[in-house]
Amino acid sequence: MAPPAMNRATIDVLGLLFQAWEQQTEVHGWQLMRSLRRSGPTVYAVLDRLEDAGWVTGSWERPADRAAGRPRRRYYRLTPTGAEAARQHSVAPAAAPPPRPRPAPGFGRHTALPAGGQRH
Amino acid sequence: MGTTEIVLAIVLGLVVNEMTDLSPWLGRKLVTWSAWLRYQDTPRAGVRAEELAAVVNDRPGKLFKLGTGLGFFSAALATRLRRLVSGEPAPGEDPAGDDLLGPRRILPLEDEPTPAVARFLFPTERYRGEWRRHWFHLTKSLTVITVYAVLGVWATEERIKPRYAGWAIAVVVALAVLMAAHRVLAWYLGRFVITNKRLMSTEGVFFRRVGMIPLLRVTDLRYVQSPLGRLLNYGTFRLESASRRNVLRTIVDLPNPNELYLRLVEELYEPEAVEARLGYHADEEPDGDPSADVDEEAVGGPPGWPFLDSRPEPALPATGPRDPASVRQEVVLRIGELAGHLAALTEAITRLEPAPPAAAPPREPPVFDELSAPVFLDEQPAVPDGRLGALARSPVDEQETGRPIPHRRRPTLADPLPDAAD
Repeated sequence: MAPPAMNRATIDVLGLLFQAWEQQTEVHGWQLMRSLRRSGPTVYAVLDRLEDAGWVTGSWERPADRAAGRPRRRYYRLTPTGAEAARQHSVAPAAAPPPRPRPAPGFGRHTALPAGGQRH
Repeated sequence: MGTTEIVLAIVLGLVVNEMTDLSPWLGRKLVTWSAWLRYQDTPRAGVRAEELAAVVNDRPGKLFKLGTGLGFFSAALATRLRRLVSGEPAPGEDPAGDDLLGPRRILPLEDEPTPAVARFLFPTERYRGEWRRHWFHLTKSLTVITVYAVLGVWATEERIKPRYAGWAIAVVVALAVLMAAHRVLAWYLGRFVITNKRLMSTEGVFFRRVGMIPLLRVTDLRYVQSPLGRLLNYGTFRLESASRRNVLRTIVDLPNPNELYLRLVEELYEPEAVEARLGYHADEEPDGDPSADVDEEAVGGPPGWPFLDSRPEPALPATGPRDPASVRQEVVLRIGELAGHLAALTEAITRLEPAPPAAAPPREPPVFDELSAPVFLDEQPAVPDGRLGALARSPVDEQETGRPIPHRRRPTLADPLPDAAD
């Protein structure tokens, strides 16, 4: 199978799945959507492509874990190929989003700095 | 407060309450439909239908569940519609592009300007592409003509006496067909052209309308796409220019407006990048023909001068004369060895200076001529050999006229390289 096109959404999904792979867990669709803050169709389009490429497998929720009257969840994990590919693409495990840049304390008060003090 | 308002408030409250109870169910239904809509007959459809129901179930918030369901449903609907419209392959497999509206590259009609366009381009301008309008533009005008034809036929049947009705209908239909043919022809001939200097549109079957905007005068550029345009991938460009009477104010229904937009913006901001991608170089003229045929005998020199024969064979590169680097290298080589010859000659002349004048002077001018003339006169290959010789040769040199005059054709790259010889 041809490797899937690496766009931003693919990289995000791969990163999260890689993180789950390293923690030996599996994630389901809503977890992916919630942690990536991406719309469902986007996430599932990526999952389709990854499944087609053989990088990801899905398995149904075990009946033991299952509350009654709830539809079955489907859990996803990387295949070894997928993990290797994620490592090759150096997909960083999805971390917390980088903090928003804030103005440093004292921003705008350059007169207080010694002359040339900020030079590198 | 009137009775109607009270009733309305109660009814609205009930409706909202019922709706919030209804929306999770509706959301689940929607995602199930969307799975079947999107994956159609593939085995993935059943899997996705079930698991998407679980996703909606996991999503907190009753109205949010409905929203998620609507999102899945509209995305699936868009995918399905696009597949229906554009005949994309493989139901059940998303095209490996971007999320839902992937990039669809559209190439210009030709790599070279077609003759109809080439007559409007001046020689040094570089052509970037030409496009017809999207086919939907044609469809729109044909639809309008059809509607008018039907109305016209109906009106003639209603209003014209039955004796003449047949002829009237024939006339109406013929007019409609002629107009439709005109529209098709106009669509076929009309072009939107981008060059490195300007944007042009050439249109018209009987009348010809050629409009242009210099790229430098484009002050604002945007494209507008209706929802149908986004589905079928066409859009209208609106150009704001510095001139008040802007000919190309709007260009309707161009195909793949996003790529055209990117091309235009790149042409505006990074013309060098476009040139590099297209493979042009700054010093390479498109009509440059660096022919590397070198007259061997001309380089060889007269038989009386053995040091001229010690020149190595011209190292013509095997990569072909088109390669500018190799041509430049060869030119540098030639210039170097010519300089060497010249030094040797001047030394020989100074050595021959005290010798009897019968031997040296008749020899000297032709040699000087044949080494200097090709260097300085190499842009005049059309001068016949005899005339060149007659002009440059001293009249004393009578015994040399039978020998072919050196006449060397040189790659055109020799000109911009005087600094390389220094």
